[in-house]
Amino acid sequence: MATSAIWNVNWLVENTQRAYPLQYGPAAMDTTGTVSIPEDFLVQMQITVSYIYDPTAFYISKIIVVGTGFIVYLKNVLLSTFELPITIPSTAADFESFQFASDADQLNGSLTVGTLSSIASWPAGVWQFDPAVAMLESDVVRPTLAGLNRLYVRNGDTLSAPLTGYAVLDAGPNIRLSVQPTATGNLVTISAGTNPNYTQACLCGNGAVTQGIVSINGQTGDSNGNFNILGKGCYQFTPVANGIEITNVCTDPCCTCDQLEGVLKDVRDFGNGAASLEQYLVKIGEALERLQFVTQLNSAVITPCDS
Amino acid sequence: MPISHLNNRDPLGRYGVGRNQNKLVRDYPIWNPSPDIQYLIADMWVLLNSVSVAVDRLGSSYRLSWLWGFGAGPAQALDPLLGYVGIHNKDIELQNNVGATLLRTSIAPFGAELSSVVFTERQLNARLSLVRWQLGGYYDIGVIYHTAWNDDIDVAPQEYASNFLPVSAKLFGGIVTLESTIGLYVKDGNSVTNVTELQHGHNTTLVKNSSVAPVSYTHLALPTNREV
Repeated sequence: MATSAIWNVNWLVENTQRAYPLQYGPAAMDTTGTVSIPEDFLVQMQITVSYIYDPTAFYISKIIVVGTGFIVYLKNVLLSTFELPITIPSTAADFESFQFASDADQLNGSLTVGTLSSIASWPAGVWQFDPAVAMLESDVVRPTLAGLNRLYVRNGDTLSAPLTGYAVLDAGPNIRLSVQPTATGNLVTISAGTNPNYTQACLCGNGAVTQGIVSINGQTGDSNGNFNILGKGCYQFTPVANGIEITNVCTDPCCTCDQLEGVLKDVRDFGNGAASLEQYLVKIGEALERLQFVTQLNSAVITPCDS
Repeated sequence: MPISHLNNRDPLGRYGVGRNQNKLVRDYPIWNPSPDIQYLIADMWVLLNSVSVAVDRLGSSYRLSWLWGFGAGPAQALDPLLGYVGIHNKDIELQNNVGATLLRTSIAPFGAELSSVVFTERQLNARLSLVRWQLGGYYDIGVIYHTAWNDDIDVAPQEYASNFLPVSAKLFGGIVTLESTIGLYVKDGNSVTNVTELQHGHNTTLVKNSSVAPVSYTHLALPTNREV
Protein backbone atom coordinates (compact mmCIF):
# COMPACT_ATOMS: atom_id res chain seq x y z
CA MET A 1 0.00 0.00 0.00
CA ALA A 2 1.39 3.32 -1.01
CA THR A 3 1.89 5.94 1.71
CA SER A 4 2.05 9.69 1.28
CA ALA A 5 4.49 11.92 3.10
CA ILE A 6 4.98 15.65 3.55
CA TRP A 7 8.57 16.70 3.38
CA ASN A 8 9.53 19.70 5.50
CA VAL A 9 11.84 21.39 3.05
CA ASN A 10 14.00 24.01 4.70
CA TRP A 11 14.24 27.58 3.57
CA LEU A 12 17.67 27.32 1.92
CA VAL A 13 16.59 24.30 -0.12
CA GLU A 14 13.44 26.10 -1.21
CA ASN A 15 15.58 28.99 -2.37
CA THR A 16 17.43 26.71 -4.81
CA GLN A 17 14.25 26.76 -6.85
CA ARG A 18 13.62 30.48 -6.97
CA ALA A 19 15.47 33.69 -7.63
CA TYR A 20 16.03 34.66 -4.01
CA PRO A 21 18.21 36.45 -2.94
CA LEU A 22 17.70 38.11 -6.34
CA GLN A 23 14.41 39.86 -6.93
CA TYR A 24 11.46 38.05 -8.32
CA GLY A 25 11.23 38.76 -12.05
CA PRO A 26 12.83 37.91 -15.35
CA ALA A 27 15.67 35.40 -15.43
CA ALA A 28 19.03 36.95 -14.52
CA MET A 29 20.51 36.80 -18.02
CA ASP A 30 23.87 38.43 -18.71
CA THR A 31 24.10 41.40 -21.08
CA THR A 32 25.21 39.17 -23.99
CA GLY A 33 22.36 36.71 -23.50
CA THR A 34 24.78 33.84 -23.06
CA VAL A 35 24.34 32.74 -19.44
CA SER A 36 21.84 33.35 -16.65
CA ILE A 37 22.47 33.10 -12.92
CA PRO A 38 21.14 29.68 -11.83
CA GLU A 39 18.55 29.78 -9.05
CA ASP A 40 20.52 27.20 -7.11
CA PHE A 41 23.76 29.24 -7.14
CA LEU A 42 22.96 31.72 -4.34
CA VAL A 43 20.33 30.82 -1.76
CA GLN A 44 20.91 33.37 0.97
CA MET A 45 22.53 36.76 1.34
CA GLN A 46 22.33 39.21 4.24
CA ILE A 47 24.04 42.60 4.25
CA THR A 48 24.11 45.52 6.65
CA VAL A 49 25.37 48.81 5.27
CA SER A 50 25.67 52.41 6.41
CA TYR A 51 22.39 54.29 6.46
CA ILE A 52 23.74 56.70 3.86
CA TYR A 53 23.12 53.99 1.24
CA ASP A 54 19.76 53.04 -0.17
CA PRO A 55 19.44 49.36 0.82
CA THR A 56 17.13 48.64 -2.09
CA ALA A 57 19.67 49.68 -4.74
CA PHE A 58 22.19 46.82 -4.60
CA TYR A 59 22.58 44.33 -7.43
CA ILE A 60 25.00 41.78 -8.82
CA SER A 61 26.87 43.64 -11.55
CA LYS A 62 29.09 40.85 -12.83
CA ILE A 63 30.41 37.38 -12.19
CA ILE A 64 33.94 36.52 -13.21
CA VAL A 65 34.61 32.84 -13.83
CA VAL A 66 38.21 31.80 -13.30
CA GLY A 67 39.88 28.46 -12.80
CA THR A 68 39.88 28.78 -9.04
CA GLY A 69 36.24 29.75 -8.71
CA PHE A 70 33.88 32.70 -9.07
CA ILE A 71 34.07 36.37 -8.16
CA VAL A 72 30.67 37.95 -7.59
CA TYR A 73 30.59 41.75 -7.77
CA LEU A 74 28.06 43.86 -5.87
CA LYS A 75 27.19 47.35 -7.06
CA ASN A 76 24.72 50.07 -6.12
CA VAL A 77 22.64 51.74 -8.82
CA LEU A 78 22.66 55.05 -6.93
CA LEU A 79 26.39 55.13 -6.23
CA SER A 80 28.51 54.22 -9.23
CA THR A 81 31.78 54.27 -7.27
CA PHE A 82 30.71 51.39 -5.06
CA GLU A 83 31.83 47.93 -6.12
CA LEU A 84 32.55 44.99 -3.84
CA PRO A 85 34.01 41.66 -5.02
CA ILE A 86 33.11 38.44 -3.21
CA THR A 87 35.22 35.40 -3.95
CA ILE A 88 33.66 31.94 -4.00
CA PRO A 89 36.18 29.14 -4.51
CA SER A 90 35.37 26.28 -6.84
CA THR A 91 35.81 23.97 -3.86
CA ALA A 92 32.82 25.48 -2.02
CA ALA A 93 30.56 22.85 -0.56
CA ASP A 94 26.79 22.86 -0.96
CA PHE A 95 25.17 25.42 1.37
CA GLU A 96 28.53 26.80 2.46
CA SER A 97 28.53 30.42 3.65
CA PHE A 98 31.07 33.16 3.01
CA GLN A 99 31.60 36.44 4.85
CA PHE A 100 32.52 39.73 3.25
CA ALA A 101 32.99 43.29 4.43
CA SER A 102 33.96 46.78 3.39
CA ASP A 103 35.01 49.04 6.24
CA ALA A 104 34.87 52.13 4.06
CA ASP A 105 31.19 51.49 3.38
CA GLN A 106 30.48 50.18 6.88
CA LEU A 107 29.27 47.08 5.10
CA ASN A 108 29.21 43.56 6.47
CA GLY A 109 27.54 40.57 4.95
CA SER A 110 27.36 36.90 4.24
CA LEU A 111 26.10 34.75 1.41
CA THR A 112 25.29 31.09 1.15
CA VAL A 113 25.96 29.05 -1.96
CA GLY A 114 23.32 26.47 -2.83
CA THR A 115 25.43 24.39 -5.19
CA LEU A 116 28.02 25.10 -7.86
CA SER A 117 26.87 22.25 -10.06
CA SER A 118 24.86 24.49 -12.42
CA ILE A 119 27.14 27.49 -12.66
CA ALA A 120 30.16 25.23 -13.12
CA SER A 121 29.13 24.85 -16.76
CA TRP A 122 29.72 28.55 -17.46
CA PRO A 123 32.62 29.35 -19.76
CA ALA A 124 35.47 31.27 -18.17
CA GLY A 125 35.19 35.02 -18.59
CA VAL A 126 33.49 38.16 -17.32
CA TRP A 127 29.70 38.09 -17.35
CA GLN A 128 27.92 41.38 -16.74
CA PHE A 129 24.34 41.94 -15.60
CA ASP A 130 21.92 44.84 -15.72
CA PRO A 131 20.22 45.99 -12.53
CA ALA A 132 16.85 45.18 -14.12
CA VAL A 133 17.54 41.45 -13.88
CA ALA A 134 19.98 41.15 -10.97
CA MET A 135 18.66 43.37 -8.18
CA LEU A 136 18.86 41.95 -4.67
CA GLU A 137 15.60 41.56 -2.80
CA SER A 138 15.04 44.47 -0.46
CA ASP A 139 15.12 42.31 2.64
CA VAL A 140 18.65 41.15 1.80
CA VAL A 141 20.13 44.55 2.64
CA ARG A 142 19.37 46.40 5.84
CA PRO A 143 20.77 49.74 6.95
CA THR A 144 22.73 50.30 10.11
CA LEU A 145 22.76 53.58 11.98
CA ALA A 146 26.53 53.25 12.20
CA GLY A 147 26.71 55.51 15.19
CA LEU A 148 29.12 55.39 18.07
CA ASN A 149 28.40 52.11 19.77
CA ARG A 150 31.26 51.67 22.23
CA LEU A 151 33.38 54.02 24.30
CA TYR A 152 36.49 53.04 26.23
CA VAL A 153 38.30 55.05 28.88
CA ARG A 154 42.01 54.49 29.32
CA ASN A 155 43.99 55.54 32.39
CA GLY A 156 47.63 54.58 32.10
CA ASP A 157 47.64 50.90 31.26
CA THR A 158 44.09 50.37 32.50
CA LEU A 159 41.45 50.15 29.83
CA SER A 160 37.83 50.32 30.89
CA ALA A 161 35.10 47.93 29.90
CA PRO A 162 33.18 49.10 26.84
CA LEU A 163 30.68 51.78 27.77
CA THR A 164 27.25 51.87 26.17
CA GLY A 165 24.11 53.84 26.85
CA TYR A 166 24.74 57.37 28.04
CA ALA A 167 28.22 58.74 28.69
CA VAL A 168 28.81 62.27 29.92
CA LEU A 169 32.04 64.22 29.51
CA ASP A 170 32.58 66.24 32.68
CA ALA A 171 35.28 68.85 33.08
CA GLY A 172 37.55 68.08 36.01
CA PRO A 173 40.11 70.40 37.65
CA ASN A 174 41.90 72.67 35.20
CA ILE A 175 39.89 71.32 32.25
CA ARG A 176 37.36 73.33 30.32
CA LEU A 177 34.88 71.84 27.84
CA SER A 178 33.13 74.02 25.33
CA VAL A 179 30.39 73.01 22.92
CA GLN A 180 29.75 74.64 19.57
CA PRO A 181 26.85 73.64 17.30
CA THR A 182 27.89 72.57 13.82
CA ALA A 183 26.02 71.67 10.67
CA THR A 184 26.15 68.00 11.55
CA GLY A 185 25.85 68.13 15.32
CA ASN A 186 28.12 69.55 17.96
CA LEU A 187 31.82 70.17 18.32
CA VAL A 188 33.36 69.78 21.75
CA THR A 189 36.66 71.47 22.49
CA ILE A 190 38.77 70.22 25.38
CA SER A 191 41.11 72.81 26.87
CA ALA A 192 43.48 72.63 29.81
CA GLY A 193 44.28 75.56 32.10
CA THR A 194 47.61 77.37 31.68
CA ASN A 195 48.51 76.96 35.35
CA PRO A 196 51.21 74.29 35.40
CA ASN A 197 50.24 73.25 38.89
CA TYR A 198 47.48 70.76 38.59
CA THR A 199 45.06 71.19 41.44
CA GLN A 200 42.63 68.59 42.51
CA ALA A 201 39.40 69.01 44.38
CA CYS A 202 39.61 68.30 48.09
CA LEU A 203 38.59 64.80 49.03
CA CYS A 204 36.89 63.95 52.29
CA GLY A 205 37.56 60.76 54.19
CA ASN A 206 34.96 58.86 52.23
CA GLY A 207 36.46 60.05 48.98
CA ALA A 208 33.64 62.39 48.12
CA VAL A 209 34.56 65.68 46.55
CA THR A 210 33.37 68.47 48.79
CA GLN A 211 32.10 71.83 47.77
CA GLY A 212 34.45 74.71 48.46
CA ILE A 213 33.67 77.44 51.04
CA VAL A 214 30.99 79.67 49.56
CA SER A 215 30.34 82.02 52.52
CA ILE A 216 31.57 82.90 55.99
CA ASN A 217 28.90 83.91 58.50
CA GLY A 218 26.60 84.33 55.54
CA GLN A 219 28.95 86.70 53.72
CA THR A 220 30.07 85.71 50.22
CA GLY A 221 33.07 86.83 48.20
CA ASP A 222 33.15 89.20 45.26
CA SER A 223 32.68 88.21 41.62
CA ASN A 224 36.14 86.65 41.62
CA GLY A 225 35.47 84.73 44.78
CA ASN A 226 37.76 86.93 46.88
CA PHE A 227 36.85 87.42 50.52
CA ASN A 228 38.66 90.16 52.55
CA ILE A 229 39.25 90.00 56.31
CA LEU A 230 40.06 93.44 57.80
CA GLY A 231 41.47 94.21 61.25
CA LYS A 232 39.85 96.62 63.70
CA GLY A 233 40.86 97.91 67.19
CA CYS A 234 43.69 95.90 68.62
CA TYR A 235 43.58 93.27 65.80
CA GLN A 236 45.75 93.30 62.73
CA PHE A 237 45.73 90.73 59.85
CA THR A 238 48.98 90.34 57.99
CA PRO A 239 49.36 88.11 54.87
CA VAL A 240 52.17 85.65 55.27
CA ALA A 241 53.27 82.73 53.14
CA ASN A 242 50.35 80.30 52.83
CA GLY A 243 48.37 82.03 55.57
CA ILE A 244 47.33 85.07 57.53
CA GLU A 245 49.01 86.26 60.77
CA ILE A 246 46.57 87.62 63.34
CA THR A 247 48.07 90.11 65.83
CA ASN A 248 46.55 91.73 68.94
CA VAL A 249 48.59 94.89 69.18
CA CYS A 250 47.18 95.76 72.61
CA THR A 251 48.85 92.83 74.26
CA ASP A 252 52.31 93.35 72.82
CA PRO A 253 55.12 93.57 75.52
CA CYS A 254 56.42 97.14 76.34
CA CYS A 255 60.08 96.16 76.86
CA THR A 256 62.62 94.83 74.48
CA CYS A 257 64.46 91.58 75.05
CA ASP A 258 67.62 93.44 76.12
CA GLN A 259 65.67 95.38 78.69
CA LEU A 260 63.97 92.27 79.90
CA GLU A 261 67.39 90.59 80.10
CA GLY A 262 68.59 93.38 82.48
CA VAL A 263 65.50 93.07 84.60
CA LEU A 264 65.94 89.35 84.68
CA LYS A 265 69.58 89.79 85.77
CA ASP A 266 68.52 92.18 88.56
CA VAL A 267 65.88 89.74 89.69
CA ARG A 268 68.45 86.99 89.73
CA ASP A 269 70.93 89.24 91.61
CA PHE A 270 68.21 90.16 94.08
CA GLY A 271 67.47 86.51 94.58
CA ASN A 272 71.11 85.76 95.08
CA GLY A 273 71.41 88.71 97.54
CA ALA A 274 68.42 87.52 99.44
CA ALA A 275 69.99 84.12 99.79
CA SER A 276 73.25 85.65 101.04
CA LEU A 277 71.35 87.87 103.45
CA GLU A 278 69.48 84.90 104.77
CA GLN A 279 72.75 83.07 105.33
CA TYR A 280 74.16 86.18 107.03
CA LEU A 281 71.14 86.43 109.31
CA VAL A 282 71.58 82.80 110.23
CA LYS A 283 75.18 83.46 111.14
CA ILE A 284 74.18 86.54 113.16
CA GLY A 285 71.60 84.46 115.01
CA GLU A 286 74.14 81.82 115.76
CA ALA A 287 76.59 84.50 117.02
CA LEU A 288 73.91 86.01 119.25
CA GLU A 289 73.16 82.60 120.68
CA ARG A 290 76.86 82.08 121.48
CA LEU A 291 77.11 85.56 122.99
CA GLN A 292 74.11 84.99 125.15
CA PHE A 293 75.59 81.71 126.41
CA VAL A 294 78.89 83.34 127.34
CA THR A 295 77.11 86.15 129.13
CA GLN A 296 75.08 83.73 131.23
CA LEU A 297 78.18 81.71 132.04
CA ASN A 298 80.07 84.77 133.24
CA SER A 299 77.21 85.80 135.51
CA ALA A 300 77.10 82.42 137.19
CA VAL A 301 80.84 82.28 137.91
CA ILE A 302 81.35 85.86 139.14
CA THR A 303 78.44 86.24 141.59
CA PRO A 304 79.26 83.43 144.14
CA CYS A 305 82.86 84.34 144.43
CA ASP A 306 82.12 87.97 145.35
CA SER A 307 79.46 87.18 147.97
CA MET B 1 9.48 33.12 -16.04
CA PRO B 2 10.27 30.13 -13.78
CA ILE B 3 7.16 28.31 -12.66
CA SER B 4 8.50 28.40 -9.07
CA HIS B 5 7.97 32.16 -9.01
CA LEU B 6 4.29 31.77 -9.67
CA ASN B 7 3.92 29.76 -6.50
CA ASN B 8 4.68 32.91 -4.55
CA ARG B 9 1.76 34.87 -5.93
CA ASP B 10 -1.24 35.67 -3.81
CA PRO B 11 -4.76 35.57 -5.22
CA LEU B 12 -4.82 39.33 -5.66
CA GLY B 13 -1.60 39.40 -7.57
CA ARG B 14 0.50 40.82 -4.77
CA TYR B 15 3.30 38.98 -3.12
CA GLY B 16 5.53 39.41 -0.17
CA VAL B 17 9.16 40.15 -0.73
CA GLY B 18 12.06 37.90 0.03
CA ARG B 19 10.89 35.79 2.90
CA ASN B 20 7.73 34.75 1.13
CA GLN B 21 7.93 30.97 0.94
CA ASN B 22 4.36 29.84 0.54
CA LYS B 23 0.82 30.90 1.21
CA LEU B 24 1.23 30.64 4.95
CA VAL B 25 3.57 33.60 5.05
CA ARG B 26 2.62 35.43 1.91
CA ASP B 27 1.58 38.40 4.05
CA TYR B 28 5.12 39.11 5.19
CA PRO B 29 6.02 41.47 6.83
CA ILE B 30 2.61 41.60 8.55
CA TRP B 31 1.31 38.69 10.55
CA ASN B 32 -2.29 37.74 9.71
CA PRO B 33 -3.24 41.23 8.49
CA SER B 34 -6.76 42.62 8.42
CA PRO B 35 -8.28 43.16 4.95
CA ASP B 36 -7.81 46.92 5.18
CA ILE B 37 -4.01 46.55 4.89
CA GLN B 38 -3.52 43.08 3.45
CA TYR B 39 -1.27 42.93 0.35
CA LEU B 40 -0.21 46.57 0.69
CA ILE B 41 3.18 46.21 2.40
CA ALA B 42 5.84 44.09 0.70
CA ASP B 43 8.78 44.67 3.03
CA MET B 44 9.76 46.89 5.90
CA TRP B 45 12.55 47.74 8.31
CA VAL B 46 12.56 49.81 11.49
CA LEU B 47 15.99 50.51 12.89
CA LEU B 48 16.13 52.33 16.22
CA ASN B 49 18.96 53.78 18.23
CA SER B 50 18.94 52.11 21.62
CA VAL B 51 19.60 55.35 23.53
CA SER B 52 16.77 57.16 21.75
CA VAL B 53 13.97 54.83 22.66
CA ALA B 54 12.18 55.19 25.94
CA VAL B 55 12.40 51.85 27.68
CA ASP B 56 8.70 51.82 28.47
CA ARG B 57 7.94 51.99 24.75
CA LEU B 58 9.71 48.76 23.99
CA GLY B 59 7.47 45.75 23.72
CA SER B 60 7.33 42.12 22.83
CA SER B 61 5.88 42.95 19.43
CA TYR B 62 5.00 45.96 17.31
CA ARG B 63 2.24 46.88 14.91
CA LEU B 64 1.55 49.42 12.23
CA SER B 65 -1.11 51.54 13.88
CA TRP B 66 -1.52 54.35 11.35
CA LEU B 67 -0.86 54.84 7.65
CA TRP B 68 -1.14 58.13 5.80
CA GLY B 69 -0.97 58.55 2.04
CA PHE B 70 -0.52 54.94 0.93
CA GLY B 71 -3.87 54.65 -0.77
CA ALA B 72 -6.15 56.85 -2.84
CA GLY B 73 -9.40 55.68 -1.31
CA PRO B 74 -11.59 57.69 1.08
CA ALA B 75 -9.92 58.55 4.35
CA GLN B 76 -11.17 56.88 7.47
CA ALA B 77 -13.04 59.25 9.79
CA LEU B 78 -10.64 59.85 12.67
CA ASP B 79 -10.91 61.96 15.80
CA PRO B 80 -8.93 65.18 15.08
CA LEU B 81 -7.69 65.13 18.66
CA LEU B 82 -5.64 62.05 17.81
CA GLY B 83 -3.52 64.18 15.48
CA TYR B 84 -3.35 61.65 12.70
CA VAL B 85 -2.41 64.16 10.01
CA GLY B 86 0.60 63.49 7.84
CA ILE B 87 3.26 66.05 7.03
CA HIS B 88 5.05 63.98 4.40
CA ASN B 89 3.57 62.30 1.35
CA LYS B 90 3.36 59.24 3.54
CA ASP B 91 3.56 58.79 7.29
CA ILE B 92 3.12 55.92 9.69
CA GLU B 93 2.85 55.22 13.38
CA LEU B 94 4.18 52.21 15.25
CA GLN B 95 2.76 50.95 18.53
CA ASN B 96 4.00 48.26 20.85
CA ASN B 97 1.98 45.28 22.00
CA VAL B 98 0.21 47.28 24.76
CA GLY B 99 -0.77 50.14 22.48
CA ALA B 100 1.92 52.64 23.48
CA THR B 101 3.25 54.68 20.57
CA LEU B 102 6.82 53.80 19.70
CA LEU B 103 7.13 56.59 17.15
CA ARG B 104 5.13 58.56 14.62
CA THR B 105 7.00 59.83 11.56
CA SER B 106 4.98 63.04 11.46
CA ILE B 107 6.25 64.03 14.88
CA ALA B 108 9.88 64.72 15.68
CA PRO B 109 10.84 62.61 18.66
CA PHE B 110 13.66 62.96 21.16
CA GLY B 111 13.50 66.77 21.15
CA ALA B 112 14.75 66.92 17.55
CA GLU B 113 13.53 69.41 14.97
CA LEU B 114 10.80 68.06 12.73
CA SER B 115 12.75 69.32 9.72
CA SER B 116 15.51 66.91 10.73
CA VAL B 117 13.35 63.98 9.62
CA VAL B 118 14.48 63.18 6.07
CA PHE B 119 11.72 61.68 3.95
CA THR B 120 12.50 60.04 0.62
CA GLU B 121 10.37 58.14 -1.84
CA ARG B 122 11.59 56.08 -4.79
CA GLN B 123 9.89 53.83 -7.30
CA LEU B 124 11.86 50.59 -7.30
CA ASN B 125 10.20 48.94 -10.27
CA ALA B 126 6.83 48.64 -11.94
CA ARG B 127 5.28 47.07 -8.85
CA LEU B 128 7.11 48.39 -5.83
CA SER B 129 7.98 51.72 -4.22
CA LEU B 130 10.16 52.58 -1.25
CA VAL B 131 9.40 55.26 1.31
CA ARG B 132 11.96 56.01 3.96
CA TRP B 133 12.14 58.23 7.03
CA GLN B 134 15.51 58.94 8.60
CA LEU B 135 16.32 61.00 11.66
CA GLY B 136 20.06 61.44 12.04
CA GLY B 137 21.43 58.56 14.03
CA TYR B 138 18.10 58.07 15.84
CA TYR B 139 16.05 55.95 13.49
CA ASP B 140 15.82 54.65 9.96
CA ILE B 141 12.47 53.33 8.71
CA GLY B 142 11.82 51.90 5.29
CA VAL B 143 8.52 50.66 3.88
CA ILE B 144 8.30 48.96 0.51
CA TYR B 145 4.75 48.85 -0.73
CA HIS B 146 2.94 47.61 -3.78
CA THR B 147 1.95 50.11 -6.43
CA ALA B 148 0.46 47.88 -9.11
CA TRP B 149 -1.81 44.93 -9.54
CA ASN B 150 -1.24 41.87 -11.58
CA ASP B 151 -3.86 42.50 -14.23
CA ASP B 152 -3.66 38.95 -15.50
CA ILE B 153 -5.02 37.53 -12.27
CA ASP B 154 -6.81 40.25 -10.36
CA VAL B 155 -10.41 40.72 -11.19
CA ALA B 156 -11.31 42.98 -8.27
CA PRO B 157 -8.34 45.15 -7.32
CA GLN B 158 -8.34 46.41 -3.80
CA GLU B 159 -7.90 50.04 -2.95
CA TYR B 160 -6.63 51.42 0.35
CA ALA B 161 -7.76 54.38 2.38
CA SER B 162 -5.65 57.53 2.19
CA ASN B 163 -5.64 57.81 5.99
CA PHE B 164 -6.56 54.90 8.21
CA LEU B 165 -5.88 52.90 11.34
CA PRO B 166 -5.50 49.27 10.28
CA VAL B 167 -7.48 46.83 12.34
CA SER B 168 -4.66 44.31 12.56
CA ALA B 169 -1.12 44.93 11.34
CA LYS B 170 1.23 43.12 13.68
CA LEU B 171 4.77 43.06 12.30
CA PHE B 172 6.87 39.96 11.99
CA GLY B 173 9.64 39.59 14.51
CA GLY B 174 12.87 41.05 13.23
CA ILE B 175 11.27 43.97 11.42
CA VAL B 176 11.94 46.29 14.36
CA THR B 177 15.56 46.14 15.42
CA LEU B 178 17.36 48.02 18.12
CA GLU B 179 20.93 49.07 17.49
CA SER B 180 23.11 49.37 20.55
CA THR B 181 24.75 52.76 20.52
CA ILE B 182 26.22 55.25 22.94
CA GLY B 183 25.00 58.74 23.58
CA LEU B 184 27.96 60.98 24.31
CA TYR B 185 27.16 64.16 26.18
CA VAL B 186 29.05 67.08 27.64
CA LYS B 187 28.09 68.29 31.07
CA ASP B 188 27.44 71.99 30.94
CA GLY B 189 26.30 73.10 34.33
CA ASN B 190 23.25 71.04 35.10
CA SER B 191 22.44 70.18 31.49
CA VAL B 192 24.07 67.91 28.97
CA THR B 193 24.64 68.41 25.27
CA ASN B 194 24.88 65.71 22.66
CA VAL B 195 28.30 65.35 21.11
CA THR B 196 29.36 64.45 17.62
CA GLU B 197 32.98 65.61 17.47
CA LEU B 198 35.87 66.13 19.85
CA GLN B 199 38.76 68.48 19.21
CA HIS B 200 41.76 69.57 21.23
CA GLY B 201 41.88 73.02 22.75
CA HIS B 202 44.53 74.89 24.72
CA ASN B 203 47.33 72.83 26.27
CA THR B 204 45.83 69.55 25.09
CA THR B 205 46.52 67.08 22.35
CA LEU B 206 44.11 64.45 21.11
CA VAL B 207 45.96 61.42 19.82
CA LYS B 208 44.40 58.55 17.92
CA ASN B 209 46.20 55.39 18.80
CA SER B 210 45.45 51.85 17.77
CA SER B 211 48.37 50.17 19.45
CA VAL B 212 46.22 48.53 22.08
CA ALA B 213 44.39 45.75 20.33
CA PRO B 214 41.59 45.37 19.66
CA VAL B 215 40.44 48.83 20.60
CA SER B 216 41.26 52.04 18.82
CA TYR B 217 41.26 54.82 21.32
CA THR B 218 41.95 58.48 21.62
CA HIS B 219 43.78 59.80 24.63
CA LEU B 220 43.99 63.25 26.04
CA ALA B 221 47.53 64.39 26.75
CA LEU B 222 48.13 67.16 29.27
CA PRO B 223 51.92 67.49 29.09
CA THR B 224 52.32 70.47 31.40
CA ASN B 225 50.11 69.37 34.22
CA ARG B 226 51.17 67.58 37.33
CA GLU B 227 49.33 66.69 40.46
CA VAL B 228 50.40 68.36 43.70
